[in-house]
Amino acid sequence: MKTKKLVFMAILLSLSLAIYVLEAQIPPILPIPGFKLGLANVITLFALCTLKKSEAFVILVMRIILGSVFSGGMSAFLYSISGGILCFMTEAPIIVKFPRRQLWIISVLGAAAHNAGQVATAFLITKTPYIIWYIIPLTAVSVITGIFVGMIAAILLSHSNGILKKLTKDIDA
Amino acid sequence: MRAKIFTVIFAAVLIVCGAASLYIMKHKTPASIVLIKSDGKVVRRIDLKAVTRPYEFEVKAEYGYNRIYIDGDGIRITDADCPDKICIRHGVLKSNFSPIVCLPHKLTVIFENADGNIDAVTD
Repeated sequence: MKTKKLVFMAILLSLSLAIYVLEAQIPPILPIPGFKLGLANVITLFALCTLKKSEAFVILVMRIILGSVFSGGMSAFLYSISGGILCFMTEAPIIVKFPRRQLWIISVLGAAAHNAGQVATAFLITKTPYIIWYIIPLTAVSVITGIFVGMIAAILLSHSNGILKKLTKDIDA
Repeated sequence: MRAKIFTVIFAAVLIVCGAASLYIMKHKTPASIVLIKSDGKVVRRIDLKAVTRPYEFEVKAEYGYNRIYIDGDGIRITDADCPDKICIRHGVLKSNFSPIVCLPHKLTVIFENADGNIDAVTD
C-alpha cells in the first residue's frame, strides 16, 4: 500500500472518529432508544465513493472499535457494529449504480438498515420482544436524517474533487 | 426518474411510520404488573396496584445503575449514569409498544401480559 493512500485512509478514519465521538456528546433530540443523526456515515459514504469497498469497510470497523473505546463502551460497540455492518452491506453494493447527486437515496437505505441491525441486536441483548416496535419511529426519523447525511456527503464530495484528482494517480496506484 | 420513485417511497414511509409512531406513543396497555429486566433476565416483578406509597430503588448492572421510582402514576426512571439519559426522558411507562429502555445498561421495563406468557416468548 502506498504511503499516500495509507495517510488518506488514516485521515478519513480520524475524521469519522472525531464526528462519532462529538455526536455522542450531543443530547438526543428525540427520546427514542437508538436514535442518532448518524453523521459518521458521511465519511463511510465518502470512502465508498473514493476508495475500494474493502478499504471503506476497514475505516468503518476501525471507527466503531475506536469510537467504543473513546465514548460508548462494550454495549454501545455491539449496537454500533451490527448496525454499521448492515448499513455497509446495504450501501456498498448499490452505491455504484447511483449518480453522486442521488447519494441521499443510498444514505436513507443505509440508515434504515442500520436501525434494523441495531434494534435486532437490542432485542437479542435485552430479550424484550416489545423493543421491536421502536423500529417504526426510528424508520420515520431515518428518512429525514438519511437525506440530511446523504446531502452532506454529496456536498463534501463535490468540494473535494480538486484534491481527489491530485491524489487519484497516487491512490489508484 | 428513479429519484422521483424513491422520493415517493420515502415520503410514503415517512408518513406511514410517522402516523404509526404517534399512535404507538399514545397507546396505553391496560395492565398493572410490571417486569424489570436487566441483561435479559427479570430482576423484579411489581404489581402497581399494590403500591400504597411512592418508593424508589436502584437496579445495578455491569455497566451502571438506574434509579426506578414508583408511585400512583406508574413506574419511571428518575436517575441513571448512562450517557444519553433516554430512559429518564421517556417518563412513565404507558404501553408495551413503547417500553422503557436503557440500551447502555441493557435494562428494560415492560408490562407483564395478562396471560403471563411473556417468558414463553423470550425464553
